Amino acid sequence: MNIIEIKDLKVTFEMSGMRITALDGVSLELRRGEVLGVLGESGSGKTVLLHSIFRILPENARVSGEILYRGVNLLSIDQRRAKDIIGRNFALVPQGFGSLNPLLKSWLQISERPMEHHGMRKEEGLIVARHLLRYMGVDRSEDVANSYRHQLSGGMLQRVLIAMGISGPSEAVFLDEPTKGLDQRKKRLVIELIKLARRRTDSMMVVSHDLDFLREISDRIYVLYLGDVVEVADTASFFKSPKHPYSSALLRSLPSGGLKPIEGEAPSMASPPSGCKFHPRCPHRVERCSKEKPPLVFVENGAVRCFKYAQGQ
Amino acid sequence: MMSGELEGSGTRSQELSRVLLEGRDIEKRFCFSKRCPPVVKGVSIFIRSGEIVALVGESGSGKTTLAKILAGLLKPTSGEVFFMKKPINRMSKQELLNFRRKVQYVSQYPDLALDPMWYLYDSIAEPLRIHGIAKSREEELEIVLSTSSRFGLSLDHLKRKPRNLSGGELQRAVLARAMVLNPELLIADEPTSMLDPSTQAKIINQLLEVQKERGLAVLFITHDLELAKVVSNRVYVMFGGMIVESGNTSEVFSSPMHPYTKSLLDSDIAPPKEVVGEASCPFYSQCDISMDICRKSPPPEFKLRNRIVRCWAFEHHRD
Amino acid sequence: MKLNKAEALGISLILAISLMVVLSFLPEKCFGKSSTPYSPPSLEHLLGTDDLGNDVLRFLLLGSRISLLIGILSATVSTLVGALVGALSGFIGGALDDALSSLIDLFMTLPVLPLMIVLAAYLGPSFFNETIVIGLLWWPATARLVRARARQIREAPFIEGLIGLGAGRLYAIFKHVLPNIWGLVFARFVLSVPGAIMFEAGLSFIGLGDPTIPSWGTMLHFAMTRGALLRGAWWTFVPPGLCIAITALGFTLVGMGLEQRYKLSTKPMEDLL
Repeated sequence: MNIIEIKDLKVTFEMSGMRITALDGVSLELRRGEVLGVLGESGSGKTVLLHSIFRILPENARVSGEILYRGVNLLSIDQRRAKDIIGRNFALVPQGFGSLNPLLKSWLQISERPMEHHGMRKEEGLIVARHLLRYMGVDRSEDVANSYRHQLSGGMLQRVLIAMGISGPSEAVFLDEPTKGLDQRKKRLVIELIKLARRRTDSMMVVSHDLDFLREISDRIYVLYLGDVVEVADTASFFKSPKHPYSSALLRSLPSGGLKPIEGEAPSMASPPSGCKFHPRCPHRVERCSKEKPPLVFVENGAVRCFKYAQGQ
Repeated sequence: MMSGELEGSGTRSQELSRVLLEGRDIEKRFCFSKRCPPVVKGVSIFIRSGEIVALVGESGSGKTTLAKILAGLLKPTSGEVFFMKKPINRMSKQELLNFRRKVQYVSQYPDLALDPMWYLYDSIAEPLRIHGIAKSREEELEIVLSTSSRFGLSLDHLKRKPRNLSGGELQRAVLARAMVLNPELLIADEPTSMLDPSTQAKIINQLLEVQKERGLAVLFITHDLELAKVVSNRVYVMFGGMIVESGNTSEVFSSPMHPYTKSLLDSDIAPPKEVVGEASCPFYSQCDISMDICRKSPPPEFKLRNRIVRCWAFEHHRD
Repeated sequence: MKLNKAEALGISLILAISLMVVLSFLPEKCFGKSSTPYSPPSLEHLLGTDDLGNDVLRFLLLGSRISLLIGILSATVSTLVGALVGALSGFIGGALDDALSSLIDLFMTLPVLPLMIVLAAYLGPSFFNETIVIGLLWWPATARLVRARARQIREAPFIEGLIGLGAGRLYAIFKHVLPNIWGLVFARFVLSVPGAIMFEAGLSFIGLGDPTIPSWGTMLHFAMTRGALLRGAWWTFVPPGLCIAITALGFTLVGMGLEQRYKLSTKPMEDLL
C-alpha cells in the first residue's frame, strides 16, 4: 500500500530569464512501513523533491504532475488546505542545526507540529519532548528540553532534530540529509536514532548523498540524477549489483570503492546534456544515448533508466 | 585497498626525507567563564617533505585547533612549532613571510573561505599579489589559469563571485588559491567533508595528482577512516586533545593497538558517548581495558616498532 | 538593476523633492506679487500666502533646499563618525573595542531630543550648529551596526585565511573589511537622512532653528506662532508638513531597499537548490 504516490512530477524555475528544470518527470512511491532512501548529489533535484512535497517551493517555481496522498493530489488543492494536510500527516526533519530557531527552547521546536496541527497543548508538548529525549538516551531530558540551540552539543541537537520528526502522529517522516558533515560517531548515532524513530511512525523517506548511511537504514533506494530517477532497487540488490552506470560509478567513487572519480564534470541544471543526461560521463555510452532519453524500464524488482536494459538493447 | 596503491600517495623513501614541519609538546587551552580546559594536550607531530600524513579524529578531538597551530594561525599555550628546524614564533618578518608562502592551510567550509565581494580570479591571484610573485598581469593570469585548471576550474568560473558557485567549485577555488604559491606543505582540514561523494573523489584525485607532480607534503585531516586509508602513508589518531596512536597507515588500520582506534574500526560497537571525562586518560570512561593508573596518571607515549601508542596497557611492550 | 515597488516609490519621491530644489532657483517674479496676508490658494499664489503675505509655494521650494541640505549634511557627519567608530571598534577589538563600546552605549542612553534642544539653545540658532548637533548625536545607531558587522567579518574564515597567506592587518582592513562594510554604511547613510530632516524640523518648530532661513520647520513654527491655525489657514502648514513626511518616506524606502540588497549580496544561490 502506498502512502504517497508521486506521478510525473516536473518542477522548473524561472531564473534571470532562463528556464531551469530541476525535476524532469519524477515518479516515486513511498510504501507503508518502509524506509525509502532517495540518493542524489547536489544538482540532482533531491531538495526540490522534498520542497515540492511540503509545498515550500519559491515563488518562481512552476510545477506539474501529481503528488497523491490518500487519493488527494496535494498539488491541485489550494495552498492552505494542502499545508493543513501536510502538517497533520507528514513530519520533516530538516537539514542541519541551522534550521533550529536559536530563540526558542528545544521542546517548543520538537513539539511544534503536533501543537499546531493536532491540538496538543503546551503542557503536553513539553512532556512529549522530554519523553522523546529520554527515549533517545538523554539522561537530563528536562534540562535539554528547556535549553536553547546554543546551549546544546552536536549530539543533543541531532536528537532534537530527529525528535521533531516523531513528536506527533504522522504517516510519514521525511529526513533531509541527516548526516551531512558529521563524523563517524555522530553518523552511527543518527542511524541508531532513526532505528528508534522507525518504531514510532509508518514510513520514512530519507534524502541523502551518503551511500554508507543509506545502506544501513533504507529498505529501497531511488537514485536521482539531474532531475530524473535513474534507478530503483531494494537496498541489498543495489549495493551488491547496481544496474545504472551512474550507480556503479558512484559506488566506485567512494573511498571504500577506490576513490575512482566519475569521468567528466557534474552537469548543471541550466544546461543539461541531450538524450540520456548521464551519457557524457558514461563508460558504456553508445551513439543512441546522446540522441534519445532512455525510458525507465522495470527489471526484477526495480527499475533502470538505461538503454542497456531496454528490451533488445 | 592498501595505501600507497593510489596514484600519488608519497613516493620518496622516508629515511631520506627531511622534516618540514614539527610540533613539539603542543598544548592549547581556551579560557571561558573561569575555566581553561586544554583542547590540545602534549601533542608531538611531524611531517616530512613529500609525504602524505593523515590526522584522524572526530569533531571535538582538537584536530582543527592543532591544525591551525601548526599552520601558524593560532599560538599554542605551550610547546613549539618548527618549520625546517626554526621555531615559528621566533622568526623574523622575512622568515615568517617565507613560512606563510611554503605552508598553506585549507578549511572545510568553502562558502566562508573567500571574500564574498571579490571575483574568484582576484581571490586566487591574491597570494601572488601579496608576495609580489608575478611580474606582470600576463604572468599572473597564466599562473592563475594553469593552477585553476588543475582543479577543474575554467575561466567562466573565475569570472564569478562566491555566491554564484557551488560548494564543490568553491572548495576547488580554495585549493587552487593555496597551490598558486607552490607551497611545500598543504594542511587540508576536512577539505571534502561537506561535499558529495563524486565531487570528493574528483577533488582528492586532482589534489593527489598535483601532489605527485610537485612533491607536495600534505597533512590531511579527516574523520573518514576509509579516506585516510586510501590517501595517506602515515596516520595520527587523535582523541580528547591527544594523539593516542600513530604509525604507518596500513599497519595502524590492519592491526590497531589503542582501544580508541580499535573502537573506531569496529562498526559493531554501539555509538559511544561524547563525554571525554575528567580522568587522566581521555578515553578512560569508555575503555574496556582501563586500569586504575589510567584514571590517575596521564599515559605517556610508548614507542613500539614503527608505532607510537599512548596507552598504559602497552607499558611493557616497548622495544 | 530591477527595483521593487517600494524602492521605485522611494526613488520617485526623492526625485520629486529634488525637482522642488531645482524649481527653487526660479526668480521671485514667477511667484505672484500681491501681498495680502493669509490669502488662500489662487491662480496667482498656488499655495496661498503666509502671515507676511509671502508666497507659500516659493517658501516651500526654498525650504526644500535648506531641509535637504541640513538632512544630508547631518547624515554625512553622523554616518562618518558612526562608521569610523564602529569599524575600528569591531575590527581591532580588545581594549579599544571596550572603550568605544562604552562610548557608544553612553551616547545611546542620552536623551537625544532634550540634549539637542539644550545644545541648540546654548550654541545659538544657526544652520551650522544645527547640523553639528544632529550629526554628533545620531551616530550611535550606525556605530552599533557597523561594529557588529565588522566583528562578524573579523571572525569570518576568509579573514583568517588572509593571515595564512601572509597579509598584514591593515591590508585586510582596507582590502577586505571596508569593501564588505561599505554597502551597509551607505544604506545607513540614506536611512539617517529622514531622522536628520525631522530633527531639524523639530528644532525649528520649537524656535531653535535659524529664523532667517526658511526651512520647512520654520514655516511650521511661524504657522503656529502667528495664528495660522486659528484662522484655518491650512495652506501654510499642511504643505510643509507633507513635504517633510514625503522626503522622510522617500529616503526610508530607498534606505531599506539598500539594506535588503546588502543582506542578499552574501547569500549563496545554492540554498535555493
